[in-house]
Amino acid sequence: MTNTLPEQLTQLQETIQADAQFADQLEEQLRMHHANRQEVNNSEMVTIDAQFNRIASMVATLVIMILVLAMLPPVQTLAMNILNGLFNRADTNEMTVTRPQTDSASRESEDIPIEQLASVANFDLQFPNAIPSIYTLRDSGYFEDRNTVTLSYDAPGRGLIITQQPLASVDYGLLTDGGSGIGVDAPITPVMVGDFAGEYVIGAWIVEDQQINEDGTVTTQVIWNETVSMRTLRWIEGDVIFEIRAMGGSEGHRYIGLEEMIEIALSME
Amino acid sequence: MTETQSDDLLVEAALNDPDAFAILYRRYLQRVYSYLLSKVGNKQDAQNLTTQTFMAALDGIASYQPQGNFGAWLIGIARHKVADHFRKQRRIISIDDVPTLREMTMPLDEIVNQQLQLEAVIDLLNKINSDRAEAIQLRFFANLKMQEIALIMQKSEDAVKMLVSRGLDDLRQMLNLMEKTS
Repeated sequence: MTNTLPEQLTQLQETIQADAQFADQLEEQLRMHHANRQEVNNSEMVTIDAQFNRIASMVATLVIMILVLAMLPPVQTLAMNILNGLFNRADTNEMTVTRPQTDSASRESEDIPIEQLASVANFDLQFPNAIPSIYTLRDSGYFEDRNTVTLSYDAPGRGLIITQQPLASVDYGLLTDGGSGIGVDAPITPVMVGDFAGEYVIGAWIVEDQQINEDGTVTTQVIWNETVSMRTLRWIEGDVIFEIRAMGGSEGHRYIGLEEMIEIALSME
Repeated sequence: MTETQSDDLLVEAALNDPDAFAILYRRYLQRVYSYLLSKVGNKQDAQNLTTQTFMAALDGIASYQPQGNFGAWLIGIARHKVADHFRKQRRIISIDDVPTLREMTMPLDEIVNQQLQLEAVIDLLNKINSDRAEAIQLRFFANLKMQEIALIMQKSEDAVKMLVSRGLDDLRQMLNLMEKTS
């Protein structure tokens, strides 16, 4: 059934999210402004206006980034991934990709309520017991083509996605990768998740330029960037590969980095 | 202070406690940002105005009268910031992108479709009566109740309902026209 216009507008509104890095930086600026305001009230040594101007100049320097995980059609098989490591590497740190606008069918997941996931996925799922309290489960999904399950959590300005897939299914596509993998020079850190070997990568593909062509295709230029707020941990446990991906947040303030991701990983059962 | 406390309790605490204001900020960021993006049509301006809105709210929080309508009060500030923005510069409609958390897990074509969708809606809103467009933006992008919109627009609740209803009719007519001509 077609949604009504009010429903469509509401759905559109729900898709709008402030940039994670912007949201975090503004929160920090507000905290700083709050502290400065109290300081000013107490000492009257600095004017509010001066602080305001300082913060305004910081805001002007914000770098706006768009992060995209999957840019290319699948090209590599997982047999290679398992042999060479848990991440595909692209041949370069910079790519230009042209795709049809409506070419997502092979990567679409079906939203499945979390309590029904176990019945659609034909492997033993694990669920985390140590998700930080600011996160709420946004949705859970199942990629039938590659027998992969995702749990997506949201918190203001940040996100967390846990993905799991039987190794027997990786030939149909690794986890939710679209084939782009990571940049050719992206550092991969070997880690241990309990007794299991894993790998940890910081970075993401950033859109440098994007245009819609006359024939309806979309051409996008992306560059691998290791400074963006995207952390990915992968490990293999038994015959299943797991991934935890954390986005947004800044270090020191409810930040999910490697240590916290391992804690979440160890809580899965 | 906890995430579950009422707005008014948090506002009272926020006078001295940055954590309390941070909770309010996180609670309302998406609504403020969505509303501003629907008004200015580009991410950079929407971010700048979001910053100005929350900074002004923090500075003026002592003037808020606790009546359970903090969201409407905050959107009222955002509305003033938008008005100032348009007074200062010519309006430029260019959606450069729709951010971002969902983008990270979304196929590229869906992102592009979403951009086009939002751009199209803003374009249509610019073509209808400004009061009707404002009522729709406050209702669907700021996610305010009719009663709150009435407070902000200084109109009766019935008048606001009429504005929203007629605004939706305008949009439907234009969408039908677009479908026929495409």
